[in-house]
Amino acid sequence: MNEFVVRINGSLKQIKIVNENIVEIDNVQMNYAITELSPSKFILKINNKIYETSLWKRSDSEDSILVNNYYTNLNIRTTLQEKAYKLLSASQSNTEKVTIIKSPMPGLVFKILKNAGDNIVKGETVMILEAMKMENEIKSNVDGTIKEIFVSEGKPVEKYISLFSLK
Amino acid sequence: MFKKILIANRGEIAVRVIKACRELGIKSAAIYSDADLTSLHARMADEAFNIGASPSSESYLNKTKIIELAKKIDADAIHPGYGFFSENTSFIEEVEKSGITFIGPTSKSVKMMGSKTAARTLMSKNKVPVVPGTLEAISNVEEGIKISENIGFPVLLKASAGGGGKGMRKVTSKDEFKSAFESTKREALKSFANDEVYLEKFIESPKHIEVQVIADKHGNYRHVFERECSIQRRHQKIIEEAPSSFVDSITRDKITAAAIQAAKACSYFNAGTIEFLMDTNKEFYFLEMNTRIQVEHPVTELISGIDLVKEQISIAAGNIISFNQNDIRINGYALECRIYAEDPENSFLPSTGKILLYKEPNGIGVRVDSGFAADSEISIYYDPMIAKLICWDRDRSNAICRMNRALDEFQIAGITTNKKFLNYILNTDEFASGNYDINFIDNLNYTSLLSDKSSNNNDEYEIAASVLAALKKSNRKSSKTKSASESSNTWWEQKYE
Repeated sequence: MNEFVVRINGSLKQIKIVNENIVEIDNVQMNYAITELSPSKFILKINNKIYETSLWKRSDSEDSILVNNYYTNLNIRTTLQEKAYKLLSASQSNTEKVTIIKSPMPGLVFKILKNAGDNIVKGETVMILEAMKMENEIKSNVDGTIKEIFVSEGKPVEKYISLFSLK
Repeated sequence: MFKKILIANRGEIAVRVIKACRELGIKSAAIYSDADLTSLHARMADEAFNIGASPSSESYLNKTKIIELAKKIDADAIHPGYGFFSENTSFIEEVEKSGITFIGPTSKSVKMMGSKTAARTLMSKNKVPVVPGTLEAISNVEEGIKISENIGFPVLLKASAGGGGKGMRKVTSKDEFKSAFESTKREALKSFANDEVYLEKFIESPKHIEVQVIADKHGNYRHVFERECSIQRRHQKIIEEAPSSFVDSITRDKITAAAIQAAKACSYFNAGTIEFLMDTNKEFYFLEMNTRIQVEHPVTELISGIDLVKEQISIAAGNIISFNQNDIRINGYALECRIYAEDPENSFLPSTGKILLYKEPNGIGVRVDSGFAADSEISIYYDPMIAKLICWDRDRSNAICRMNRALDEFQIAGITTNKKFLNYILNTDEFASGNYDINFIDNLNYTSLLSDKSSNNNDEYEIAASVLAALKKSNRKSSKTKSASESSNTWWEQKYE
């Protein structure tokens, strides 16, 4: 079970750990070595380059990673998990597709400009979230009809809270 | 000189003032809110006092509590930093009444410059050029539209008590006026506790040029050259530089003279900044005066060798300015990048959370002013600026190379930052040539920044990140990673002679 599928910044990488020295990335073999400095900090060498890296586990399939100055979130599954995920999402797409827009940051719901049932186009502002003294417009990233609004004006929200859904 | 200074601020500017105090042999007292217990300024100060709950209104904007505290702990001066109470006349008046020295100008000077409309009137009287527009606050939408049509759209709506880019909106037509007017008023009320709004003609393609001035209580006035802050997003400065590559020595003489004229008009003392818009013909117009230390003061410090914060403190204590105008020359070139906790790939939404890892760059000509460290929290309550990265070199192109290098060395994890966006700006042809105005970022083609993933150098980092994730995930199931001491990897230890 040493084959993985990584989703990083919109691209997909196949990673296969061949043995203690060799890893295959999209069928290209590279040498590697890893040393743990602390539970979250590692020195990683790939071919002739050494990287300072850190990894924080977000969930079973999500990690936050720092490589030198480069900070990113990625999604990782074993090839088996990936197969299961694909089967699952294929069956879901047969039913009605619902998009849920989540809060990108904690803040205060300042104003809700739309109601359930309103038709909106991509890029249209649905609500205004106030954080750090700035008004941030929360826009829809798809065309559709607002199915449900989960929050109300004046209420504080945490990060990644469902704000509204579209169909 | 003072014995103890209370710093009525937080973040990097509080840290900056603590450093100046330490060099001057003055004790520093910090205040912090509940959310800021872990912040750097609270850890660094000689004394630190909890001033209240996390929202600014209950802590850093609690006037009575701050002044009471200053009295209780025998502070003989209060440094306001920037933002918060730095330009709040009622706060300054109360400090003046309490017998504690305010490190800044008199409340009277601030009042003269604090209202943008009053300042414009004062400047016109003193022959400092101003942008055409209203001198009074606008009372209603109809009046605003009428005036706008007179001077011609587009116009800029601005909060009278505003500054720092908040409470400003461009209005291109009559139809947009009502909603822009209302939201500017709202933002103004929230940010500055004053909803007065005025308008002025929108000048096409101007550069933002500002002059650093210093004056003491004995009527001595100096300037410390100009800064250019044209790289702005939503009127918030992102990259600042000194000197401006656009300003020649004749223009410099004119604009610094106008700045000193402006400072004299309000009987100013302390460090201060006169902001101007400069059009393509190098004609300049007074924008506003900031009667406090400015975020971007380090670039001026690096090209002049003057420590502006120490100068502020010394002047407040009644000393004369430590240098003569002829003593200082522009030495080299400096630029500052503001590192914000915001996501350039997601409409610049603020990013909050714990800083998991934080490592600053260093080396020749590199300075970092920051209020954060690893495990500090970026909270929703305050400004999203994490640090200011300032680089100096003997000329502009070398300093830009140094800035690119330093940005690459800066490691921040846990929150998304605008570093990539800064790199992108620094490497555009326009930035390299100095040929840009305050609309530069609005006119940028974002899609090219976002879709350009293949051509930037992140590919090797993405590979390294993916390999690390895979190794750790396979470890979660099987054995532990070997620690450094027990590593038996032969390839790792292979030596080349």
